This record gives sequence, C-alpha cells and structure tokens, in this order.
Amino acid sequence: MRTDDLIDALAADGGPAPGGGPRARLAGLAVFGAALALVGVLAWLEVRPDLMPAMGGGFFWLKAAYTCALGLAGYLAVEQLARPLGSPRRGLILGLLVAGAFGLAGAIQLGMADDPMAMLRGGSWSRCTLNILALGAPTTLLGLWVVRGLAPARPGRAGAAVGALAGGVAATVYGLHCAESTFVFVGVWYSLGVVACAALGGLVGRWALRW
Amino acid sequence: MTDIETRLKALMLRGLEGDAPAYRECLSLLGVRLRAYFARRMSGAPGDVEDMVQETLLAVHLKRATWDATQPFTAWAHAIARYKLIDHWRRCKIRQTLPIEDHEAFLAAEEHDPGVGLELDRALASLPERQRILVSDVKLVGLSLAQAGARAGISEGAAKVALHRALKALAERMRHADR
Repeated sequence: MRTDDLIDALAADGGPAPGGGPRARLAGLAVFGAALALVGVLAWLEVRPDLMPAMGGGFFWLKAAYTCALGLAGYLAVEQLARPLGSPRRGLILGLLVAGAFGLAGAIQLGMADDPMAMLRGGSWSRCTLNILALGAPTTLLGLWVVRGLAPARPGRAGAAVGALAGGVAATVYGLHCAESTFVFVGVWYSLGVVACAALGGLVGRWALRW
Repeated sequence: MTDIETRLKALMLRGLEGDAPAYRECLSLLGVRLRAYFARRMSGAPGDVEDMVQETLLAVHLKRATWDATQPFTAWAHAIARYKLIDHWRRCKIRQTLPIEDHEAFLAAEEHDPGVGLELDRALASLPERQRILVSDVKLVGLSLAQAGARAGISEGAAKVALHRALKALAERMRHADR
C-alpha cells in the first residue's frame, strides 16, 4: 500500500481525537478507581464503626489529604509521562515534598512516643499495605490500559506513575475503613501501599506499555 | 525551519477541528520529512524505511490526543518518530544509540519518493474483509467514507467506527510483525 493511500485513510478518520486527551482520560480513571475502592471497602472490608465521630477530628482529614496528595503526584507525573516528551518533574517534586513532610512529622511523633514499636505497628500493620494494594491493583492495571492508548516513551516510569495515582486513590478510600491515626503508621504503611501499587504499575508497565 | 513548524502546526490544528484536507496535507508534509529522517538513520535497511514512515504516521494519527497544542508540533512528532525508531531497533535486537537532537534538524530534509510499504500490506491482509475494503477504498478525492462504506455494505456511521478500528488494528499488527 502506498503511503499516500494510507494518509487518505488516516485523513478520513481525522478530526478531534476520540476519548479526549490525557487529562480527561486520567481524571475518569481516578473517579472510577475511587468508586471501585469504595465498593471494595463497603463489600469486603466494612466502614470503620466510628466514622461519624472520626470525621469531626482533624487527623481523619489530614490522612485523607496526604493520600490524596500522593495520588495527585501520580496524576501529575503520568499526565506528562503519557506524552512522548513529558517529564514527571512536577509530580515527583510534589510526591517527595508531601512524603517528606509527613515522614518528618512521623519521625518527631516516633521520637516522643513511649512505645515506638507499638505506635509503628498500630492495630493493623500486617494488613494495611496489602489491603491498599488489593484495592488499588485493579485500577493500576486499568490505568496501564488507559496509558497504553496514549504515547508513553518511558514505559516503566509511566506505569509506576499511574500506579501511584491508583494507589493514592485507593489509600484515600481505605481511610474509611482503617481507624489508624498516627503520622507514624500512615507515613509508613499507607505510603508503602501506594509504593506497592507504583511498583506493580512499573513492573507490568515495562512490557505492557509498548506501542 | 520555524516556517515548517508554523505551517504544520496550523494544518494540524485545523485537522483536529475536522478539516480533512488540511489534516491530509499535514500528514503528507510530515511523511516526506519522516522518510528523510528514517533514511538517514536506517542506511543498513533501506527496505524498512517506508514501513517505519507508515508506522509512524499511524502512530501520529492514533496518538494525536497526546499532543499539547501549546507545544511545538514538530517536537512532538519527532518524539514519536524517535520512539518508533528505538522500538524498531529494540525489536530487531540492534544496539544503537540515538542522540536527542534538536527537533528543528528533524524536519530539515525532504525525501519525496512516496514508496510502497510491504509490512502495511501484510498487516492489511490479516484484517477482516470489510475493514480491508474500507482502508483501501477511502479517498478524499475518490470515494468518500459514505461511498466506501456502501461498497463494504455498511452505513457511513458504521464505516467511521470500522475504519478507526481497522487503523488501530493495523498499527498493532505492524508493530508485531517480525522484520
């Protein structure tokens, strides 16, 4: 087939790109991921019984803001990495700043604690990270499919970024189930849950995000 | 050089608004330059150049949502071409490095001979008959999408969907073809 004939076929299929740009597609992914994680929490993990009083406290919202910020960092990174020229700089800076600030608060809290190990373990340290990974993994895989329809030039990084987006969203919804309320616990186990989703996205993305 | 950027960008913007002739011109202009770009870098395999041009044009078309209109169009198109070339070398197990050059140099030369790609024909042959008819029949000057659809026995709306699916399938199959 001559290239000119191919161009004719392409022109006949022209016009605005179907499905919208990276921003719209990734925002849709985040909303879908939140709904999916919510179904998971409601049907599988159950909402924490003290949700109403907890929502009156500051840390409930601080925890949600932290995990949201991690997800936002993933979004900012993947929104760029899904383009052939994109740099994840903005997302990376936001993620490191937020994790650094939360980690610092956790280190101070740990230093002041009577029993640091008990604070680190909380009541659910062995489940927390795995639960977040379980809630975020489907959205991570779906996110890889979304990113595959875009144009990532660095598949591993783009996969990790979309995993961080999915993990941040899942961890935020997981806060409806989990009653842990220390900087130490959230800073370690929640962050690890988001990192686990990012690692999953990065590993699968390395071979799945070729186009 | 900035002249071609201005021209391509204006044509691409019009194309994204649904101006098919402008979009066609944009892809044609890009095609002659892609041919020169790949020819210079694939001197060991001149037969593959046209396949790469066609695969890159397909990618430019299917991935156009990732072009940010506030950015230069040629820089984006160069990034697509560069990715496709590195991917091609990776699949052929060729170890070679490609410097990140100025994207202005990317479009410096033209190579007009509108060659024939073998890989595209092979990929096309593996499509369902209806899609194959559509892709090869649709012409801006010849058959319209509605006419091509009628020949394939489907409505214009169905032809539009089928053509898009066919192009996506072509891009996928060309990539998986062993060169």
